[in-house]
Amino acid sequence: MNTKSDDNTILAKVIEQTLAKFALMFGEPAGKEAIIGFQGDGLTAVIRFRNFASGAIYITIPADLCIVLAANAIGTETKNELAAANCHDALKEFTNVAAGHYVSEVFGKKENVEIMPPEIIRLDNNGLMNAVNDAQVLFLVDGNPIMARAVKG
Amino acid sequence: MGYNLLIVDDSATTRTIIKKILSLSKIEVGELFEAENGKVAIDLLYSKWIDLVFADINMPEMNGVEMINRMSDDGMLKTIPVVIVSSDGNEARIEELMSKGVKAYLRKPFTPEIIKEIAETILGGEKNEHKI
Repeated sequence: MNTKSDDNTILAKVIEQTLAKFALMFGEPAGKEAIIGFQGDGLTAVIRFRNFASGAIYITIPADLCIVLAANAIGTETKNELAAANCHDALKEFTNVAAGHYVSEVFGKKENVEIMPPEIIRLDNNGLMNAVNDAQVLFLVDGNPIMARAVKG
Repeated sequence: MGYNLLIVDDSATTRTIIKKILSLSKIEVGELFEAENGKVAIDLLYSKWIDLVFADINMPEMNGVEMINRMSDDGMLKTIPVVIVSSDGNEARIEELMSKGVKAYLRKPFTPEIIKEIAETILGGEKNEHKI
């Protein structure tokens, strides 16, 4: 059985790898102190899973970074209106892919863990800072934070 | 005349990525159709000539497994090759889909090269039972 520390290591790995392959973005692990004081609104994608195991994965990023994520994923410029139009969808899909790999690695490929459709929650700057405090995994991408946590049960 | 392709995924981002990859491949593409779930895809399969389907599993309304079941129960639809593109890694689900005639199973995130290679191989007529 994995420890919480093992699970966090897996969460960090799947987010780093998914970010690189999905959007050619490279995250640098960071401590909470590097993010305190960051200004801007944020978005959280939450994806729940159930059956063999239940829980949820939360990935939070600044709203501006979401446009970069979408632009990189679809191969366009951030100023292209397609990037803004696909922003929420790209964050949902990024979270969906990371969640698929997380549940496979934590619970195994033989267990049936059903992943539910992701949802987006808008955050103001206070909400973004709360996500920093709650994060189990933090990355910086060009000075922008990416925060994640996984909860079971 | 090119091949008509159908991309079934609830993520518009993923549909855009796959569309872009296929349009840059060696495949002569006729029309590229999109569907956001299995139900819309089945309707399209009955109304349009489709040569190859790329489909996700986790979708609202009708998921990829239900869509494959519907296709395999239909004498006409079961002949259309399907490639599953999903983040789902459940071995039993993959085996079940492969046993129903799915040609290949690609795990997201995918590379452009593997999408192109599989599409070119299937439309080139070779039997290809990838699990990646």
